[in-house]
Amino acid sequence: MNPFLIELYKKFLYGKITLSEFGEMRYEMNKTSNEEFAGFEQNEWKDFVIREKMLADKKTEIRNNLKFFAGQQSQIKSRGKIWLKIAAVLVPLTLVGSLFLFLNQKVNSNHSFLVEVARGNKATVTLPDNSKAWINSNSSLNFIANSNESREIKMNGEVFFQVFKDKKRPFIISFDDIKIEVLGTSFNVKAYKNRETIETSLVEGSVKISGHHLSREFILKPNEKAIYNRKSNNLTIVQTNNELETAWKSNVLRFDTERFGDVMNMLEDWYDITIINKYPQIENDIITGSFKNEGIESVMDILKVQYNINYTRKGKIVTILPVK
Amino acid sequence: MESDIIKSYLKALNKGSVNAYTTLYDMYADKLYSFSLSRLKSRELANDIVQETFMKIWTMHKAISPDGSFQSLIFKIANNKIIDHFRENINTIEFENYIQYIENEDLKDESIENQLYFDDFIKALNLCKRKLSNRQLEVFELSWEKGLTNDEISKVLNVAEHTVRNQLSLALKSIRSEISKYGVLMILIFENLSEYANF
Repeated sequence: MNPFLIELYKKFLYGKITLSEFGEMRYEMNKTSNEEFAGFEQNEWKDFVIREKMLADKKTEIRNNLKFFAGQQSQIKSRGKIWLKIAAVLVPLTLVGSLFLFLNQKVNSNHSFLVEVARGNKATVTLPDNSKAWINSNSSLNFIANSNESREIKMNGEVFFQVFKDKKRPFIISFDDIKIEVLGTSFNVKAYKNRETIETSLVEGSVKISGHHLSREFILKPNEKAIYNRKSNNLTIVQTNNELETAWKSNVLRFDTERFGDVMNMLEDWYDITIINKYPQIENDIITGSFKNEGIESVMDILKVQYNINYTRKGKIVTILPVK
Repeated sequence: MESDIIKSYLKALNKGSVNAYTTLYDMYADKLYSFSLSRLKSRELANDIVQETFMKIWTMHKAISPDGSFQSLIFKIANNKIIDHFRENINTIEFENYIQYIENEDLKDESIENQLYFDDFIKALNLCKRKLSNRQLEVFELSWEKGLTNDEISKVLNVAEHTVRNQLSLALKSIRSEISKYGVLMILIFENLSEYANF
């Protein structure tokens, strides 16, 4: 590499390059062959002094990924049959707050596995490919490993995925009408069968959405949410707040300018209760709120004060009434 | 040049020792990470390079010579990936925006801990764009992401050029003030993520 390019490149490496110098560096770099560039870099690597270490959490995460990868590779060679084995070490990580965990894991003959989470519960599982899934209440997830070429997910409800990076095997979540394809990334999918929309919010990485009713493929960027409407077959992309989208994972129940009626549905799933609304006028009121680890009583008490309603509770049945 | 200790780890690695494998990872991950980061300006990509490189090392663990240089091997595997990402990066308009931002905001001389990386910049930008008005967002995207001049934008949107200039400067001002707050925001995000990890 010529001395002029080397000088510019070093400025670039130290983050001290101006835009016009960068333009020149790019021009020179685009004319430089990979071999020439690699020859220069080899010497740089020899004398390289660490300037910034990995974040401790990331370093541990990748070490665990590598351990898993090494174990998996060995099993492929020695046994040939891997999925059953790994599904058996699948770990439900925790009980959530006072809610008890109801987890139904089955390993069927096609080496897929199914996790069902009942209403009022949540679960965290590690999938056979080392991806992680946080599963919200009243949701299910089916991981299908047909071959070593792809990873396929069928799901209902809401799941947050942290996908294990493996470029050779795309991770695909498919519905009847659309397909969400990812490499390595974290994102939230909300697709309850009884609702009209499939929502995908991206935290990190990138996600591709395609479908036979869609005019083209859509690529999501972090902090964007794609909302697909199953009736109109329309897909819109909006900016979103991921803290809000994924608050449920940390056991925070959060709603932001949502219809009272929708919030009642969320509360039913969250607390495994039935709500009877005898005050239909408030169905379309818009409410905002956030609750962490609170019982249904205290949530209802807050709503009572804030939105001027009355309620009664008998076991699992909550009835909302107008204030007399 | 490598010591006997490393030689013994490499011998164990040949035999399939996962312990030796992760120990070698612990020894070299930071160097590879830092090297990649200075070239790619993205923590996310640098982490990817580390993981992919070490995955490759496992797939060839039986064939690695204990007498060869392990460091050179890491370099050979990683560098092709780094060069590909580097070339792709520097030829995008987003990366040019990033360099321009660093230059204008005079962040060139920031200490390493405070360095704003490309991936942070893109994330911050996406967050900040939410705070813009529709018109500001439109002007900003045409200018920064499509690379149109103010004159071209005024024709596309059918407004006076000084309106474009004003909207753009308002948008940039808002983005600047948001990004300067971003240090704190990043910490919030990390806190949140580690909370999930303990979940």
